[in-house]
Amino acid sequence: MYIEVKGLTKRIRKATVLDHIDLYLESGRIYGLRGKNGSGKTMLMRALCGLISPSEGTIDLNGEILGKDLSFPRSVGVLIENPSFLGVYTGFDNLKLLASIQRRAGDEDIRAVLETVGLDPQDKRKYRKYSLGMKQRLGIAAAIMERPALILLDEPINALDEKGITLVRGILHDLKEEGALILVACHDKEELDALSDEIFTLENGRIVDHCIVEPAEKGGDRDVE
Amino acid sequence: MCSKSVYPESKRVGLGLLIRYDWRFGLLSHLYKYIPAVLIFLLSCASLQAGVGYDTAAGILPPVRLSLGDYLLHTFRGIPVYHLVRQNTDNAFILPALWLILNLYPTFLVGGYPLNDLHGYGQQILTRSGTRTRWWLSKICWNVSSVFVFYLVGYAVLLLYACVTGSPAFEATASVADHYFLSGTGTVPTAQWLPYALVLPFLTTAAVCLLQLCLSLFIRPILSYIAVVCLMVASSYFCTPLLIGNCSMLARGAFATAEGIPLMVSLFTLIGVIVLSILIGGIRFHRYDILNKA
Amino acid sequence: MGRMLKLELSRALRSRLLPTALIVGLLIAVSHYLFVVLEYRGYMEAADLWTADAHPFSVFGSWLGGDPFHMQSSLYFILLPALASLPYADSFFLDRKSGYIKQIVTRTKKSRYLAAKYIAVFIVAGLTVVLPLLVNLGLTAATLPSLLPQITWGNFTIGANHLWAETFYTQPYLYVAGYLGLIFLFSGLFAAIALAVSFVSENRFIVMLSPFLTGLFVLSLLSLLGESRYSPLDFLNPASAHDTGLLAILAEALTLLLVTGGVFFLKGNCDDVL
Repeated sequence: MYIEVKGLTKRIRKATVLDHIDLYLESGRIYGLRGKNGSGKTMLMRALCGLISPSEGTIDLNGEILGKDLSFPRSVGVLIENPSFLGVYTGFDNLKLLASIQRRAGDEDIRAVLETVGLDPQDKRKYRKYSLGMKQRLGIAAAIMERPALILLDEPINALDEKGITLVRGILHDLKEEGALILVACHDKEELDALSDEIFTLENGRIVDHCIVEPAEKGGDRDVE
Repeated sequence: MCSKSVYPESKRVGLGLLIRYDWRFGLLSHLYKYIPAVLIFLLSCASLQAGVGYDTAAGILPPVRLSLGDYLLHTFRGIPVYHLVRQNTDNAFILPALWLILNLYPTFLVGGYPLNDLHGYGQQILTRSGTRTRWWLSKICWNVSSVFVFYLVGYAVLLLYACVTGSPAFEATASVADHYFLSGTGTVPTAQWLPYALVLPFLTTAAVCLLQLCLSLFIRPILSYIAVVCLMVASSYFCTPLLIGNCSMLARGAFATAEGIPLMVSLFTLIGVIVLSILIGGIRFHRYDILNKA
Repeated sequence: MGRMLKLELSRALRSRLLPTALIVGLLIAVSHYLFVVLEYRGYMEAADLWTADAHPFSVFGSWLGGDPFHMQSSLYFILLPALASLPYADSFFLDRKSGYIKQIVTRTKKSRYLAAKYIAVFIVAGLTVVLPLLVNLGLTAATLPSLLPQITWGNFTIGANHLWAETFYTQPYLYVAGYLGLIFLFSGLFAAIALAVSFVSENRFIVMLSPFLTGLFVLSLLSLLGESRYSPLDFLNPASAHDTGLLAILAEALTLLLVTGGVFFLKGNCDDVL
């Protein structure tokens, strides 16, 4: 799949939160989003998954325009801002409920993805008893359990310990190899460098920098475009 | 270079699935909220029974066995058409409290769920649902179902109460109707007023709830609720089908008073409000920005 | 405590919903003035009713709180709990939900925060409800004569058994002031219901509407029992044609205060801040 963003602009009241953004994203790559707080990373993610509609510009997903031909991407997993689930259910039951909507992931898939993110599928604790890190892991699990073609993760490593961060890195690389298009927003520069194939830097709703991270140099020097 | 998705295009998510989700989390898991509904209808019956008992003991009314029809007329009575007579203190405007709560409690029940569901967990549901239209239609179905359950509970309470204390017949007692409903209505045939009692209250509340849902997409849910309260108070003051609260007041039906609103006029008005609310709300939701708000 | 109270009051007065609540109240108050009071004035001028002998309209039977005939009066008093809650009653719920409460209780005693919160919610609720009434009263007093009500005229709903009836017929502005005090008191207490409900509900909509629903339920229940005069939504209307005693009113106020304050302070102090 591909995503082509042309002239994407979003105004909320008098503030321009996204300002003429142009992007071309394709499958099998991890794209990083970097920028200060309030630079527009989360808004861009919301726009790409159809939660907000552009004031100007288009988002083209495989030839279909978001907001016109499609309400939401046909295959998408999202983790935007704080994960939120039903407090009275366990992690497994929460995922099972979500999986029942599209029926693309069965119980075994759910157990597998919970183990992948480092959670125990047999854990009988209700979601409201989860620690912040556990909630974050469950949010990641929900975003990836159906192996979507497009994955949008906003600050996925928030509240995760080192082991968790390594897990996430591994998961995202595996999904990339399987052909997913992944967009990750992260404040941790080193982590983003390690994860991403290309990095966009946002400032005041605009893309101010775009660089390609060479495979051999992940974590080291970069080719700057 | 364009890669295929790992999985083929997602399966089309049926509307039924979304409706089942809303029933489960917006209705069945909150059934305890219908307990006050039981209390409201019970108290309505009890108050009529107590009043009739008192009047019978005082010799004002002959001894009667109250019927389901009596309870229906009493519960959904509302107030007669109000005529302002300035400076006549016997003519002070008094709000029909029972009628108000019958209409405002269901709107409270359905007010908090839809938009609350949109933030946080509901976003996961929404992005998996495929289209915004489906989500919106699902919420419409849930909304109407919730009102339906409210009235199902209410009618069940009225029927049970009538069976236990009197008669389950729809025919109202003439003397009770004349004394408690509206003078001169004791001889109105049951077939004439029964459609008003069985259809209009539910349809009116459904219309009001859908109107509130639609308004919530434009203003905050709490303000849309306040708007609905204003509509209901205005409805009790002015007798016009455009203020749709009038449609659910049996005392303002054409069978009860010459100034009353005919059944078909009420039906068309309510259906019009329902259709408009669904259409306008759908159009609005299609471009509604879902941002994380507290 | 003083600093905490200042902080809470400052937050309350900057609440985004305070202007909205005031606008809603003022819309009702001003529409009453435009459609009722001005009509009365026009009627009086047309009929040349400018002497007390001709029983013209007086401020005290024509302002929003003295008019039992028009919709706006009923609407205002039925909406009273909702208007009172709008500006700040959900602030405790939001503080807990957002985690802001952690910022506060790590810097001051929890009991001070709770006390300041309760007082701020109370004061802002009272002001929100009373201000539009004052505007309406002021406009009406500028338009109609402040004629001393006469019970012999027969166009006032205040009978001999009503609360402060003698004051109404001798010092009507004092009567109005007394009622505005009661309205302020109950507005604050209604808003405090939302504070107590914040502990049991996770839905902001329910928290904000709980005072309104409570008031409406009490009114319905008491109306069915034939005792609507004991409902605050009834006796707070100065023109209500019921003879609720001051003792009953104060008893209800005390009950509301004890229940809302009791739940809020006890639970607030005992609960962990998660």
